[in-house]
Amino acid sequence: MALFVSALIIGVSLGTIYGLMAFGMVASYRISKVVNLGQAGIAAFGASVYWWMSSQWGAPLVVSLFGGVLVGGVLGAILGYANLKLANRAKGLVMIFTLTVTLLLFAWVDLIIPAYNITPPSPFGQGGFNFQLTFITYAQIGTFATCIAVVLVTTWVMRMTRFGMFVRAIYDDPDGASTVGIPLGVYVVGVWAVAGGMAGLAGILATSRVQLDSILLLFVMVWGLAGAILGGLESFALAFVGGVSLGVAEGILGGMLGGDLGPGLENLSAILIMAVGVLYAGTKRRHLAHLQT
Amino acid sequence: MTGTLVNAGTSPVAPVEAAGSGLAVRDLKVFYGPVPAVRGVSLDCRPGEIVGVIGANGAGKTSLLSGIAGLVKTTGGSISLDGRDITRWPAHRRGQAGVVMVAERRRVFPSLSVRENLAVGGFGLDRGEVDRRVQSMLELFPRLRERERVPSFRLSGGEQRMVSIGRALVTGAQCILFDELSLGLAPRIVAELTGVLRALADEGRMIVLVEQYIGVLLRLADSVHVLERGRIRFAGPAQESAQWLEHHGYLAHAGTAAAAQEAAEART
Amino acid sequence: MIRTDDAAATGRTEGVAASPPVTDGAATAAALASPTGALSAVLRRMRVQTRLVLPALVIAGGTLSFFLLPGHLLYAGSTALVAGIIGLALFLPIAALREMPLNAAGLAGLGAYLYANVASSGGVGNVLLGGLVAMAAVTGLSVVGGLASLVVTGLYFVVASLVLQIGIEKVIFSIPGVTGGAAGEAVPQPVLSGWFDTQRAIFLVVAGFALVVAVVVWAARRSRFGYHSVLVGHVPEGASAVGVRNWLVKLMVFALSGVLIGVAGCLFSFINGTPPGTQSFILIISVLYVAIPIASGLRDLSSVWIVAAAFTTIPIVLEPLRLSPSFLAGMILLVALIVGDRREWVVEQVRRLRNRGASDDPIEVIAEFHAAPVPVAAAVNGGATPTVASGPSIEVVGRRDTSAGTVAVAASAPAIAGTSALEGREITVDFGGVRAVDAVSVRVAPGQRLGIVGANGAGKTTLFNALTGFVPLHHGRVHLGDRDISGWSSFLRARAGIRRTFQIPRLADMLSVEQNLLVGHGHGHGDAVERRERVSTLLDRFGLSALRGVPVAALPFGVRREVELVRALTRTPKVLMLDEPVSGLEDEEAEKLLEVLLDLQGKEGWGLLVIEHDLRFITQVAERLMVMEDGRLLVEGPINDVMRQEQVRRVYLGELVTAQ
Repeated sequence: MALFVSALIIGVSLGTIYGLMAFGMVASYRISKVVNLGQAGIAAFGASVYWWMSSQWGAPLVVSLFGGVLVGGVLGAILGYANLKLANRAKGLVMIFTLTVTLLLFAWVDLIIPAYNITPPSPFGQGGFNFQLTFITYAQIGTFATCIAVVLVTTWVMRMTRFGMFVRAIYDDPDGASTVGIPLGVYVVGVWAVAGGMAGLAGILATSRVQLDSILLLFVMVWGLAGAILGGLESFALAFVGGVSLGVAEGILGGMLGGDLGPGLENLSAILIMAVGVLYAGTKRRHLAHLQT
Repeated sequence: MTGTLVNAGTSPVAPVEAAGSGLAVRDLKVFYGPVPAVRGVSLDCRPGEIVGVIGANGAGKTSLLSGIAGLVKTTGGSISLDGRDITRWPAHRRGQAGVVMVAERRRVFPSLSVRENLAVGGFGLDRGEVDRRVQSMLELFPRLRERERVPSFRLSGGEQRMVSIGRALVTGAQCILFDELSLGLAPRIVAELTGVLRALADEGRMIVLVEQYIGVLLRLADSVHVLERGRIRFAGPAQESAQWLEHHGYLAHAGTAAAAQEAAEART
Repeated sequence: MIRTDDAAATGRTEGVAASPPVTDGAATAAALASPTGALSAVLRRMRVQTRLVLPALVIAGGTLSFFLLPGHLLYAGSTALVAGIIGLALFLPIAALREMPLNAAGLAGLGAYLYANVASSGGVGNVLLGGLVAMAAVTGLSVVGGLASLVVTGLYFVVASLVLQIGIEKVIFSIPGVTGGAAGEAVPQPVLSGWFDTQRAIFLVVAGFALVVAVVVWAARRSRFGYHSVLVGHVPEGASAVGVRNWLVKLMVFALSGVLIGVAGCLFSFINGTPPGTQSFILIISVLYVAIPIASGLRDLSSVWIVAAAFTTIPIVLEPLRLSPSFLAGMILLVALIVGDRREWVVEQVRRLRNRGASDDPIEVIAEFHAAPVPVAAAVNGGATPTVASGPSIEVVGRRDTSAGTVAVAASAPAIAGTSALEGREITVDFGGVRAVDAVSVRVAPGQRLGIVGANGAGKTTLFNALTGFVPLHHGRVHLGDRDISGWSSFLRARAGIRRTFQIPRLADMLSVEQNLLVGHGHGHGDAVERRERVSTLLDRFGLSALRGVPVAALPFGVRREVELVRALTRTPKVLMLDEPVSGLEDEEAEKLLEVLLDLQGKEGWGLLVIEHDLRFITQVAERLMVMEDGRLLVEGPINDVMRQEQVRRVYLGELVTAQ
């Protein structure tokens, strides 16, 4: 039981990171119909900025956290702007372009990070506490709380502010929004910036758990994308839930069965969930079907 | 009824009286890839005028309006508003300058409530002004008031139509491009909306009205353009158009033509 | 977009006249009569050869590398060839099916490890067996991945294939028996020394495989299978409408792709002596493999080799700089993207170089074709030879002569099987709770002409789709003659003789007119010759012969409609169903279409079902008329009666709003 609970907690805190990534991808997809594969690169870069500020400059962790998120936002905005310039290209090409950005950002991260096996300090400090028989780290609680808070704040902004209202209007019908005078470009850049900030945050939270490794973040993005796809790239709630459930599946199988089944098999359930989800969502959402190459 | 309209439509751009030559479209062409939709259409619309465009499905009516509103890329020709060339302006800039399209059928923002839908039209205005304009729209369309907080995809076709018209009016648009006003609406609602349209024109707005249904058009329009396969086949005052339409097989019976003409004349 | 204006065309008359039309053979003698003609003939002969420049370059490059390069660079050359094989393997799924599988690296890795496991035991038998095992496994897995393309497409397919890649990477590669065991094992290699050393021998073997693969893909692309796959990938409904079994074509493409990737996997182990580490087969590498065909412009097979060579050699050359692999991958992808995006521009430049001095630009041929003054009446009535008087354009004009075609079609038309009327009973179609078609019955017997009118959204096209099997029936039956075909797939109905067109022509844009017409169910069963004859008489009949070789992408919209109509007629249908055949057509084009259509229908006696808004057209073409409103059949009867009815005027012509 204790094993299960601890596996569940690992899964949930991992899953909220996937969920955050998925959230950002849905946000940018809905406004420009482009799958934003730049998220992994932005996450890696945000995480390295965080590490640089906290470990090299000795800045307080909170300041470093904001620094990383801010840089993520700026990168997201630049990517959003580039995406505007490529608006009349096939969406599939633009998607590959965002992947290129990820690879180049990875390269940059490789340049500024001196060696492998760097684990940035967790913004929530070391240690933890015992809850009944399970040891829960502050990092797990902090990650979970931060992701939930970001998701809630975003939801509030979308529901309650004029900015959110205009964004939702563009989501529903870009033509209708632009004909009443809403400049789509500004909003596209804005939303991509927010998505970039989320990626930066996800990157910081993910790397401080394990280590600063870009390939790891690529997988965080892939699972996030899987979560987003489970929600048809349309629904924020489903995307978040999808991301969390993939994390939980991975955590539980990794924690509980990993040793018995042999290495690699802990991924099997997550892979199967993703396969089934993609096939199901794909038959439901035909409009995503036409990816031009 | 019309009193509230004047309040709602205080233009953020230019006062109605100062409007110069109105909307002028010259030799407009719209292609979708190799597919021609509009093959060189010219039309003028002066303040206070309702210009009708009629044609069968696929004649290029919607493409024409979308081209004027900047929602599709035009492949040739020019569009000017009050003497300014707006051919290359993006859609949102045309919207801010007062050229707003009311798209056919259910083009509301479905997940937004009625009130939010109307408020979106107030982009760039301060909150108080938006509230005032939204309020006057709810007075203009009383049936929307009771459904103010309802997500608009739940509305009936007629109510959605009202929402999209209201949204255009909240922007203070000077030139409204209506696509298929009557499509899918009950005659009673259509009659109500035609009254609103007439009042809008009488306030000095420019209105381009695209219709597949001749009756509505002849009732409302000052001039009629007949679009066939992307080209204008006839352009002239509404009264003359009835004979032409009859002669060219658009009206099956002399009786219909007479009724149409009557309708057109009754209006003036 | 397409220059059809008379001024431009007539201005160019001389140039076009001097250059023969795109069809090969013919007219060289006439062209040689003038000095410009002789010049253009020479140029034309050269153009044929320039088509071979890229392949020649690739082969020359390979040969030179073989003789001149030192061993370690030759190793890079072998790697490039293997990457090129994978590039070609991905060419068909990406270019034809328009699906982007992100699992090539995983599949190749699987092949490499399986091969190594078996072949390391030594001996020719084990090497062969290893190759077979690897190819079979990879092919099987590729087909499994391809199964996803039957259910999902586009982005979803990309992610589904990515799932397979991750599955291979995380699960199969982590089984020690597969990689751990194989990684250390030596795969048999030729052991030679001197000038013809091991590396050179390996290169020779790999080049041999590459050549075979190149020929296979080249042949596949130009076969009916290749055309079908393009059709399935670009216009799946169009493929079904001519009787192509879409799922089979898709799976065959993935099977072929799998075989080639399997070959590449074995070669990876072969050229390295041991299979490479799993780092060589991760997701990012899959992305780079996909970038190879994209960067080569998805057009030309030879350029795949050039791109693959660039991709593999540049990192090796730049190795001393110790660049990050991510940087290299990113830059390669960026270059691929830019080149791939500019491919139209590149193609245009190349074509200009080739065509300097003479014009066989399909666009100009079309401009000329349209400028040719052919009186419609003359062409249709098959009267006296139409205006040959327009001098130099004689070639083009002559091909619009339709008089010969009339007779031939009539003569070759097989008799229509007795009473095979198409009948829909109480057809009902729902879309997520919305009733699109509500208990509509329709019947069209051979020789009958039925028109359908109604406002937008009245359910006309949905009714067509229900009859042809493109949407499932919620209720009701469809019969063809005495057979109940309600449960048949669309391609089976097409094979049974229900042929249709679409509102927007569903043709494969990159294929030529003729290739578009020769696809579909039917020939290959002995009637190839007959079918070819029918196609050419139909082309004559519609006045399209001059455009045979022109890619559909270059055709004006109206001509595409005609081509699609001809395609629907390539086998004599039992019922022909046309969805807005004249919308988007010029008046003259519509007139011509009407005449030819009625003439053919009268002679061959099939049933005709037409949706059309154009009042004049529908009154001329239909004997009976159905009026639909909100998914229901409002009225049906002889056209003159129907046109007089009150509801029809309401639906079709509009209602006067008098209520106040």
